[in-house]
Amino acid sequence: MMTATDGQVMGATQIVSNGSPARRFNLVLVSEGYQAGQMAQFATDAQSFVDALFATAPFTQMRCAFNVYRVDVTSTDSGADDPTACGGGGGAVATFFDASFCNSGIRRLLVCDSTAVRNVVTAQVPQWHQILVLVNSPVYGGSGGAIATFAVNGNWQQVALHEMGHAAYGLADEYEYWAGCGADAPGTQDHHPAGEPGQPNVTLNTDRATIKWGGLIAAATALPTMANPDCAQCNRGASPVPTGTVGAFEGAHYYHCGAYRPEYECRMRDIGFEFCAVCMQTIRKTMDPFMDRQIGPWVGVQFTGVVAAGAGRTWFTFNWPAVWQVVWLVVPTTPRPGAPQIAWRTRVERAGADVITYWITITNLTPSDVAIEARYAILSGFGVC
Amino acid sequence: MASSTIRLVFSYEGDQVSLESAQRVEMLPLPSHAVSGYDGEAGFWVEVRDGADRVLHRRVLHEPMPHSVEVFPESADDQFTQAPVAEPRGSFDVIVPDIPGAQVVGVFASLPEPAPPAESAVDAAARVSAGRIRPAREIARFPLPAEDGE
Ligand SMILES: [Zn+2]
Repeated sequence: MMTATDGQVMGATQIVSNGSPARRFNLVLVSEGYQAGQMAQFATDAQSFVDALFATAPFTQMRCAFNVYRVDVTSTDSGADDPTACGGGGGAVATFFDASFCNSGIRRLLVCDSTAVRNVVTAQVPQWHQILVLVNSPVYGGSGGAIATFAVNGNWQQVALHEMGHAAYGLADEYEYWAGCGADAPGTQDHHPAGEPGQPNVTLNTDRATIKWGGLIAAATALPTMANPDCAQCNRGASPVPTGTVGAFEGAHYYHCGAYRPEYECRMRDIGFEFCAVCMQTIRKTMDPFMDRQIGPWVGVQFTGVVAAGAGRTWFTFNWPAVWQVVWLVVPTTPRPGAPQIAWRTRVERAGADVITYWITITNLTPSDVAIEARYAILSGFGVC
Repeated sequence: MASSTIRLVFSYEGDQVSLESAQRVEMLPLPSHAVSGYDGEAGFWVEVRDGADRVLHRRVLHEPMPHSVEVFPESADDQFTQAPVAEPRGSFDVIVPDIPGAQVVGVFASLPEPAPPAESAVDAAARVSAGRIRPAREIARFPLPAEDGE
């Protein structure tokens, strides 16, 4: 299965942990072009993406939906191939996933052996949802797709968030050109042909009653909100409405006219901005099943001990989230057939705004010592992010 | 309780797509998109269908068989751009729920016309850019693996 031999798979480390991977969105960050002595740098680079992810709305509110794993793979050499054909330095390095710049004749297009990446990750983290490959190179570049690849320099974390918008959430590009604003051949990107895009964040429709993000458009907002006065060019006029207004802005999905985006700016248009409200709503809907409002039951034994003959004894357990729905059960573990051995009562203290202390008092009803265990069932688990 | 899903790995070359593997995994799938009301839409999606050809689950993907690539902006003032791919090939994954009665997975795509010989860069851009917004058609259909015995 390991087609590559220029390095070694060291293993997976969970760097964000929110319970069973069967319940979470499992994001995997894989190293490429890091030598064995550079793995601490990979750990730092991976953490920098995690920090960027959870600093970006709407992920700021959904940390508990994610498990994040680092898969440490060493390479014999550092970096990635950088062919001279694209103006690169000509470096040809031995790396585990054979990453190379200059794909399709474009220097920035950095691609690795995605089949090998998939095989390694599937062996290490079988429940993965999204893979990002971090390439240890000072040359700028990367590529999107199911297994997105990034040279770790510059603003790569911000680009990676845009690519996750495509790969994990099915979001379309909201920019209104193809080869670049002003760079497209005259006439080629002027009018979006008929055919409603299937993605949630671009549309040809400006009918208030049927536009796909109509629920987010205020009644007072005009539709279209901003038209492009010159379909031969990108629509670069100032926004006629305040930042954050949801409407229909002409110029989207690679065309100057005929296609609309939900806000004036969005990360799916330009990495210098946040996701627009429609993209955020799409991400929230997609992540909703992973937010785990109804996990459970989740059971275990919180404490064990012995209660002396005829006596009572109290245990407490503290700092349990107040949102957890908890049921306590105390059972004797010393057999003594014929009659009940213990009684218990649970008292509850709201120790803080979000936390609860449970006090369990157990009375031994018999003339002999009795061992007990106190079991809990958490009927609904995390519930909050 | 954890749901079971099927991880489908597809490979493609041009507009030919093959199902490389279908593996059951205990994990949560991404939720379904609308299973009706999308006639004539462009883009890419997979549909899980039952024996009566009803759609049970549909997941829209952003161009998993791209005929162009997105080139990254080097700085925040810079732009994303698109560039055509001469020989589109690669692979992609879709995780679908393991639904009782599900029998097939259909792959729907808007794809450009094949490249003519000696095509100019301008023509390639126009062909690829227009191809991605033609109404999607079913380009392949594969049987799902039989349910595990209970
Ligand atoms: Zn957006």
